[in-house]
Amino acid sequence: MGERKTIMIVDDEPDVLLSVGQILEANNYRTIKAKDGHECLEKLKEEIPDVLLLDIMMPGLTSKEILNAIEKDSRFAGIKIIFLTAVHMLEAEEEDLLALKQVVDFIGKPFTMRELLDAIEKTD
Amino acid sequence: MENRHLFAGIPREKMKSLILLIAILACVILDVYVTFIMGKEIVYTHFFYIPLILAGVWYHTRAIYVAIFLGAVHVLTTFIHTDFGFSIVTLEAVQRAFVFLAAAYFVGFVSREHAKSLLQEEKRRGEEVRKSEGKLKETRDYLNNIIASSADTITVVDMKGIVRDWNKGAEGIMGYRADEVVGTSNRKFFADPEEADRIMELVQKEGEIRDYRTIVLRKDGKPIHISMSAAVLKDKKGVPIGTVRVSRDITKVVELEARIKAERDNLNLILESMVDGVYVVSEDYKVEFMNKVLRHEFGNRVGDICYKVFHNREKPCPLCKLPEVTKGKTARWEWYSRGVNKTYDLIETPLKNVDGTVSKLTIFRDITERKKAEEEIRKLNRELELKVVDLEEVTRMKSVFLSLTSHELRTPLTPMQAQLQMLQEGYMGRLNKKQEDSIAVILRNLTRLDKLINDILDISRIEAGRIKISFESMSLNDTVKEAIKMQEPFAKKKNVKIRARLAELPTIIGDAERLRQVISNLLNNAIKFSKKYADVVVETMQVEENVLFCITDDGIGISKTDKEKLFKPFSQINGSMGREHGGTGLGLAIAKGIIQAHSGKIWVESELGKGSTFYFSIPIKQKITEKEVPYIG
Repeated sequence: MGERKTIMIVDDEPDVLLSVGQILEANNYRTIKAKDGHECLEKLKEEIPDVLLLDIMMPGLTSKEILNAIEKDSRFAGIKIIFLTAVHMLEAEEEDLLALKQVVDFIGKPFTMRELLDAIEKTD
Repeated sequence: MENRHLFAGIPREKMKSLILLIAILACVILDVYVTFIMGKEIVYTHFFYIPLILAGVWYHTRAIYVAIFLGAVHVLTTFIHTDFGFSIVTLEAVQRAFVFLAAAYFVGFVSREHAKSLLQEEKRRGEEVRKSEGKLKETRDYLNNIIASSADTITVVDMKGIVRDWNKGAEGIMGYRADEVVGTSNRKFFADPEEADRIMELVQKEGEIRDYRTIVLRKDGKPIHISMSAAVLKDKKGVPIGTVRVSRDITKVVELEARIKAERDNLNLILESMVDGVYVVSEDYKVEFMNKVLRHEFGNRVGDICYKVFHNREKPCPLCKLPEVTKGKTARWEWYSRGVNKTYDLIETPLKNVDGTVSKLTIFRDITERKKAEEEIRKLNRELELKVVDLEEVTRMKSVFLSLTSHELRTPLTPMQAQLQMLQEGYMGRLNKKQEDSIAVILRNLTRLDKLINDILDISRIEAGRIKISFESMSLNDTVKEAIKMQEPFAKKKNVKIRARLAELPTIIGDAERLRQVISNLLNNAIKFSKKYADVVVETMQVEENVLFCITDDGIGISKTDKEKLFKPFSQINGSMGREHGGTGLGLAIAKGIIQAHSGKIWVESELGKGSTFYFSIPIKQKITEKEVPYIG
């Protein structure tokens, strides 16, 4: 295992942020937490993570707006995006959230630890 | 003839000769007296011309004998007077005698010629009269023949009502012979004897009557309808002497008329009692007939002009169908009458008249109520459409609500499941056996709660017609195998063996994940309701243009009434059984929605206590590209 991966978790639910953070940190990942889209974009300016775990249906910026911002900025081109959401995948597809090349996976809530860890491992 | 003679009123032949003789004798005596008593021989012979002219006129040239005689007498008297010697006087007498002769002859000749011409004229006239008399007779015979052979009765009745003439026709029609009735009163012929007086009075007053209808009685008592024409008969001086009457037997005509009238009355009765209005209008827009319904609505306007009656116009209506209808066309149109506030369905047809003209027959069907009903229906439809829109909105909102709700429900589940998994995995330190078991129970029920939320979301999407299906080319058998693999642990736990008989199938267009969901559900049900150590048989096959999936168990079976509600949401046949076997009661309703979204069918064959077989079929050649497919409940 080389460099520790940095993973940014974006979710408006503090308990989800906490739980996902705990799981990832226990598995030797570094985490950055953001409670909404604004915070996400704000923190992206400071540090560029390897993987972005993104919720859908949050107050403030919509997921589409976050994706657009990431797409526009070439510095973010290396970020792999995984959706972690209670929204149905087909609905996400309807909203054109899966078209971006950087989106690599989609995990439905509630998730199992295995699904989450497998998805992150696959981003290598 | 005598009237035209020169000396009118002169006595007859004998009288003529007597007068002539007296005149001659008077001349002789006068001659002798003048010559011998008065002694004058030469003069006073002028009166000799009287007998000469009379004789000439009456006896024509035979007057010369009178002239000879009188001349001889005169010559003789002069001869005697001159003592029988010839003298100048005698010679003069002789000369006079010749003059007498010439005068007599001239007068006689002229008179004879005149008489001759008179005679010829007379003859000609006589012939003419004879000729015209012959003609007259011929005409009279001809008329008599006509009268005799006429089928009509021709009778002459005098002023007292006594029959004076009675033709053959009268004999035929009335049954009386001429010799039976001529000379008797005509009163007995009439059904009402007073009629005889009335006719007589009428004829005298009017001079003639025409087509006077009355009833007469035959000799055998049978009544006959006649039509009589009569005229006053006058003598030479113009004094009325009776009436001549010509009558025709019109019994059959009257009967026919009665029949026609009866039929017409019948027809009228039908027209009058019709619920529809009927009217007839002539080519020149005159209303010829209106039945009761129309008279009631518009008043009796027969004879008036149609556009005034119905449309209150001064000119024919611009849309009037009369010109085309009278040309033989039929028209049908709707007309709203402002006057009576009714809508009519008008059917207009040409009506040929006996005289060759064409009228327009119009039937007015009152469709006011129907129109109102149609309007009402339209209104209701509009309201219904609005309600449907409302309902669709409600359904959409319900869908949105459920979607949001399920999202919100899942959200707390997520950290719960994460934390429990971390506990289970020993992230928070080692657990003892009891703790592990406790966490397993909580996790299992979390999964069940998650499934319930998913099912509710699915069924709400299906009911809203918003089920999400992603169609791709797929193998049904692979999906079946996958589903079996997933249900294997559950089967093992229940000691049920799953046996699969999968035929070779073509690929179909479908959503593999959704179909796996259906098959899993059916498998899960079959295992759930099977007895221990039983077999569940899964089969696939191709039937015509469909792939067929069926799954058979020998479980508790389903009654006929339950079969009907089986595929409806939240319709677990028996609440307690549902709890006993676990499940949401939504599985089959979701399965039905998914199969229908694949244009397929799902059904069950079952007998209570003997197990069930569930089937679904999906068409092979089908290309569905839409992601949302309407749900047919």
